[in-house]
Amino acid sequence: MRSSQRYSAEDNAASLILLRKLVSRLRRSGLRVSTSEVIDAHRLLKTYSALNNGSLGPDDVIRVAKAVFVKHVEDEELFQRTVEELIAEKNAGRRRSSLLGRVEEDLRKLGIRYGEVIKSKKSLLYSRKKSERRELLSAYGELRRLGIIRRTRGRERVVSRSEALRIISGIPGGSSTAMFVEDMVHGYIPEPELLRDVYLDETQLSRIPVKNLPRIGLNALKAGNRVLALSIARMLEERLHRGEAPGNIEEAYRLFTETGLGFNAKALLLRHDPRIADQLAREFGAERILDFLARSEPELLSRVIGRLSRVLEPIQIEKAISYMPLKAIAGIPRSVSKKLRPDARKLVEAARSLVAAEESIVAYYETGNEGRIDMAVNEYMKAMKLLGTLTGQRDIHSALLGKLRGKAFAIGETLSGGIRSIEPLVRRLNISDALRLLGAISRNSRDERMRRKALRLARRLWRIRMSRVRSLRLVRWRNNLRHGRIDLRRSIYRAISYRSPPLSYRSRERERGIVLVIDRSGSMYDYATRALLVASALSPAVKRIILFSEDVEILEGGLLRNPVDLLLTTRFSGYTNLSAALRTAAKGLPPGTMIIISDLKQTVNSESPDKVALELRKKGWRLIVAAPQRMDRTTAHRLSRLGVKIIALRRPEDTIRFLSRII
Amino acid sequence: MPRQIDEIKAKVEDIYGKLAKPRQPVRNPNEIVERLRKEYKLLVDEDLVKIVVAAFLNGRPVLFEGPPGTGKTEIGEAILSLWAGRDAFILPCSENYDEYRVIGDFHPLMAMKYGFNEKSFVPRPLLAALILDAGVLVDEVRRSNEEFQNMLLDIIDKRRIIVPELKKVFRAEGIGFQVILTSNPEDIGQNELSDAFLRRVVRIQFTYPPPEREADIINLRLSEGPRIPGDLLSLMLEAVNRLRRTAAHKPGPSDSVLWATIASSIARLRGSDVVSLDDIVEAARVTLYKREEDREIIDEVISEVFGRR
Repeated sequence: MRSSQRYSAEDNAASLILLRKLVSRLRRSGLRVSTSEVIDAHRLLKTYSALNNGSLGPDDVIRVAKAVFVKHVEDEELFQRTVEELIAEKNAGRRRSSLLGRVEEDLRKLGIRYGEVIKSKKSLLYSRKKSERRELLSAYGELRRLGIIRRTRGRERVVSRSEALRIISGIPGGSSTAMFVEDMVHGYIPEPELLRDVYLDETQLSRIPVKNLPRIGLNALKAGNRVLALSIARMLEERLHRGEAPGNIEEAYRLFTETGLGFNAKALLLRHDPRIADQLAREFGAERILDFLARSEPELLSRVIGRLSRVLEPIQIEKAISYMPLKAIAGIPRSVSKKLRPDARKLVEAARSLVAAEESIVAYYETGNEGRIDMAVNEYMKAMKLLGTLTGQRDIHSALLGKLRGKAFAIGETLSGGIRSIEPLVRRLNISDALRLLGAISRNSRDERMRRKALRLARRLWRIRMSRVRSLRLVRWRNNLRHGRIDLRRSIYRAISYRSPPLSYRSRERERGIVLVIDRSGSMYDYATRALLVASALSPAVKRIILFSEDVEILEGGLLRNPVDLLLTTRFSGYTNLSAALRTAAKGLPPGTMIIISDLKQTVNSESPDKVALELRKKGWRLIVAAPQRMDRTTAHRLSRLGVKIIALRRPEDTIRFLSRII
Repeated sequence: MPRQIDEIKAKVEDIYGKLAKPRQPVRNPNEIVERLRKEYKLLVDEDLVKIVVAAFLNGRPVLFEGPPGTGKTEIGEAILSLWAGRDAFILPCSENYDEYRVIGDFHPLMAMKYGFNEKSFVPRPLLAALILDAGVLVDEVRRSNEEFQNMLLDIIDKRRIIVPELKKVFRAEGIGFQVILTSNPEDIGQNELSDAFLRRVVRIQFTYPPPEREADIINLRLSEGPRIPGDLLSLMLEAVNRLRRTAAHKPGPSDSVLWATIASSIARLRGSDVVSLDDIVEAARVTLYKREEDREIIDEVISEVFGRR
């Protein structure tokens, strides 16, 4: 409504200079700010200042700029950081001179001079009156943190004045805490005495490597800084929850205990070290652990049960077994299953035999060793004998018994079908295991018919799983005039208003044009197959798939829809060259959304991935990384600072859920 | 043909006029903040209101984004209502929303009988808002499809609605017709907003308020009935903040307000003027359990914060 009204630059020149600086900085750091948005911001600022009685402070400029320029949640941090840098730069000069003043004040308080060697710390700090001591300690801590007092060869020494000036001028933002945090981000673990009066906020804590957090927290406790210790413990819990691995489990446990955090924080440590179960059981009872694991990580149960066998009642173990996956049941140590009641023991034995039989069959296909078949038959017979004696009347085990019988049936079919009918077995495997097996057959088998059959089976399996993925997807409609289902409502309107053609259709697909970048290093196999499955199931929405290890392969067109042949022949191994993959992925396409499935571990020494990511962001690409939890956290952190969204996948199955939601 | 436009206007007035009775519009940010506080019991930053008003004056739609329960919809509706001096219209979006449902369509039988003209035309909320000069809150805009979003942008930009079947253009006459959109980007099962769309909106991020502010919000909402003592209130807020960090369903300020309200009602039923610790723990059971998998986490947080189960 006021589009004719041009912006006039008379008022509040200072804030407009700030806005301009901010825009150029934001553009440099990768946020896309268009000219029309800058004009919008100017106009808005003008109105805002009018509402504000004509005055406009830097805070107002930043608030308005944020409202106009930041469009996605992930850009928010980028914006915040850019603003902080801008302000820090402005204040740095002023702060530096005041910091030098403070340093000299501290030195005067302690009664020492530049270049002096501190002979006795005790006499320096503890000889005075109690009331002065606290102040002295904090002055000393500040000087140590800044590096003005240094410890070399067991002695402490004050640096020379010129050295002190050099230190202060090199401090980012001119504040000592900022430098201190920067050191911790790069792996420095401060001694307790340096943590006395330090308070860190969440953004600062979130940048410190997780493996150092327990030690820093305990050091803070030693220094009597409970507030810092508690916020570190909370941060540790949050990051464990997100799937990061702590360095030292015992220290983490101790930190949780001493800061009063309870079971849920501690149980997160189980994932990284099941040995912690003993301690947890003593503190909270074994039943609670089993409950927790059954809900969150059933795969871990067998290892934990092994550890807890002494304190667990047989009935508790039996209950846990009923919701464990078969492989985990087979992993229960014999010493534990011996203690179970006969029925439950038989179930465990049967599970063990069936898993062994299945593994033997798979091994036969992979190696061609006939002896494996005999082993499989042997194990199968053993399992059948055990299952035959069970009736399944006990309710807690009837579901498990059903599962075992199904498995046994599949194995029996395979064995009795002259080894040719692998189909029942394959159908019960998850997609990546099935493809691994079929791939092995199609590569290694000496029987030509077998090889062809494996290929056929793989294609069929792929189709079936694809349709399952499609059904997961939310229905989205799009109207058009050519194909799809008839949209009755619109068609009636068109018919009675004599439009031609009268029929209007709507279809389910949305052509989003997503680019998918998939890591094919060996460790990513399970994630990559599932990502490919989703991509081919939803292929109209995917424009291009990049498969990369140290070299890069592009899939487009028909290959997108049916990559299974390629998948069977591709070897998942080799080094990772993420930056080359990102470059290829974007080549020749207009900016859009790119999803990267990778653990971010760049093992080829070329340009760094974040440099390429920044370039892509500047061009307007939206980048989303889906990575398993053991991803390279430093790269992930660097990328997230560029406005790349990072999503941690807990299990390979999550890939399907995540992708079918986003594509 | 002014007569025919009047016919549509009369229809709109007839259908929607009763719902949105006119009042004195409030356009001064300070006054809006004050009225939000007094009439709607909403605690809103003055800076936020200023940006919204500045955007309105520049003809830009405002997008409220943030986690659920942070008051996006309620605040948006209240600001729009005050600004226009009429109750705002709300469009709760879904995938199948199209222009027929928001601008207007033709009653099929009437259209067969009278043809496509004013007689058979049924005006819908967006057109009604434009004609009545009222605000529109587009709720959960990410749930709508791209065509709908583009149509919306065009209407907001040009401040007019074209109905080709009637060969009519309706233009906004005052500045009361404004649009606030809300969305929760972390919610699942929804579309992305296009860059073109995002470039045109003024986006305001909603976050969980700091504990002191949340305490103010709760006190404002609980102005009558038994009061919660300060120390218990801060314990409640600690519990809520811990759940935001760990639980799958993160309680928003609206959940903490509900929790406090129910605790206060329990105290009133007990016949007491002051809410006790037991009331709060009891109220937590009905308000915080939203998902089965959170049950244990909530139990633990409550037992750790309040010292009982």
